[in-house]
Amino acid sequence: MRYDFKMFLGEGDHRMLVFRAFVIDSNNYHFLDVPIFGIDPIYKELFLDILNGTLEYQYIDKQRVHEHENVDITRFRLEGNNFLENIDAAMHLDPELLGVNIEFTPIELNRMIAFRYDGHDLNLDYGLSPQSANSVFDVSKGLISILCANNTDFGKVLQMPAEASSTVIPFDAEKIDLEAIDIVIRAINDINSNSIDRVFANGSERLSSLYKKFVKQLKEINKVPDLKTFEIIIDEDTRLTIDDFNKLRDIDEQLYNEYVTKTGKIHHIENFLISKPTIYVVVVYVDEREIRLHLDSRGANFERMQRIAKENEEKMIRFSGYRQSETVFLVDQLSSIDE
Amino acid sequence: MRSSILPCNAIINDSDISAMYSIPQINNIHLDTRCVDADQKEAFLKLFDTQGNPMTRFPVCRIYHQNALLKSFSGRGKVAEHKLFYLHPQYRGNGIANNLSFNEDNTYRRNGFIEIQLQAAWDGIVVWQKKGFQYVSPKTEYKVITAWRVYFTNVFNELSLEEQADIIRQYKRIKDIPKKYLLPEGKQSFTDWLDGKNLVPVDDMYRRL
Repeated sequence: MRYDFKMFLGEGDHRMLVFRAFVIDSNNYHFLDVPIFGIDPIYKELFLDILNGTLEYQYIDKQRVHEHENVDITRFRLEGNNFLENIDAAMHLDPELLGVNIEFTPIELNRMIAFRYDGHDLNLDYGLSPQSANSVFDVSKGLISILCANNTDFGKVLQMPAEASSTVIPFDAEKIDLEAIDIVIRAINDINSNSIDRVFANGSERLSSLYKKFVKQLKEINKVPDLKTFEIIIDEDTRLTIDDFNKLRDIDEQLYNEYVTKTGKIHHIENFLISKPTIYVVVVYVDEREIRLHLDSRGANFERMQRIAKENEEKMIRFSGYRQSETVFLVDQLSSIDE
Repeated sequence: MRSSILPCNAIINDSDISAMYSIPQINNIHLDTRCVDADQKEAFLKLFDTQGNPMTRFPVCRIYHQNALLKSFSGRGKVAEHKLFYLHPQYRGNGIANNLSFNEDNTYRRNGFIEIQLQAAWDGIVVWQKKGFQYVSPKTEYKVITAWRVYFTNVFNELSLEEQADIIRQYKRIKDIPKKYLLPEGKQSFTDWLDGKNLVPVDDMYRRL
């Protein structure tokens, strides 16, 4: 059983959520960001004292003490036998002392997805190098944040403790977003068969953007050192593997490599590319979006571009070429709009 | 038996205790002391104003130890333990605490005390901190901040919830809270707000002499 632990300041219409955590037991819990307060260190400390039964107060009850007599201090300490009894005792504590009202309700969490990283340096049993650990968690976080963007109706997705036997980063959710899972399966299958669906990825369907972002994010797994196999575990029967990482290298080409013709206004000519000194970058506005044209400085297109930028007052151009990414085009043909 | 011949009088004698409370704002003192043993002496004081009214809600209780565990560093030494000092609100803010503190420091040093251990009500914690006292438990800080946040949302209720939240989340230490949020003009102070509650939380503090 898992529990949703919330602390509120104030009551009724004036109450505000100041802290939230999912609790499995006294050793397993996950802090959740709440609006404005985030994960507040003051309430975090209060939560931990409640959970561990170390919350204590000394106080005088003025109603029980007669004036001018020696005063007795009451000492209170949560003395539950387990975290449930501790939380229950805190909920029954006078809110005057505690300063917050607690809500504590059981919730159901389900394993949504897990990412498995397998490689020589990637067995959690033997500990990960800091570089591997960082890249594993960064890549997992990047992938899950894309899936979560589709998840607004499904509650929080939580990262659970990493598991050994290679390194597995599991994520649980209040409710599983099956649409997102279908997109994950489709994306991995498309990558493995070298058939990324460019039309769908660049289309306006509701899940197009999720597909495209997830596919692009998968390129990041190349940054995990010594990775031999990457696996996405949906459930025991559904395991999706990528072990040919060359297939990730041409994702951009598969996603974007289409020939397009567009019109736009020259903004300015930037410098050449450090990686390719013969290529000059020209910033152009197309439908109020900034894009970057790559032009070979040795070709006629570059001279034409300079001339248009200098002589044409409107600086409007029509260009054709291959799209290389969301905002970069390799120019093949170029002309002034009035030509 | 007169206390002057008791062995615990070597810790501090009654006349020194009385003298600490002989300040202009206190008209009359009734002192009662007893030896718990040779290493521990208890003193109970009732303080009266010029009209004969008691100035504290409870008798002032001081326990003097010849050889107690120290809080300021490891080891043992001579300690003055101050139980809760609960001055009625009408006597606050006219220098009583300052005068007593000055006398206590001098008398204790002269008698070889090395530490004061204090039981402080939360409403006095801001003042005691300014006088150099430190918490025994670091957890006191977050508990008092929690109480201040309740105070702030009650007293600054003209602000929207978002505005309240945005202000209170900024302060994690009592000493960082600006005076305008502890002692606001035209509003109840944090101290008075705490004083109006039925439950008076207290925590332990200490200061090396």
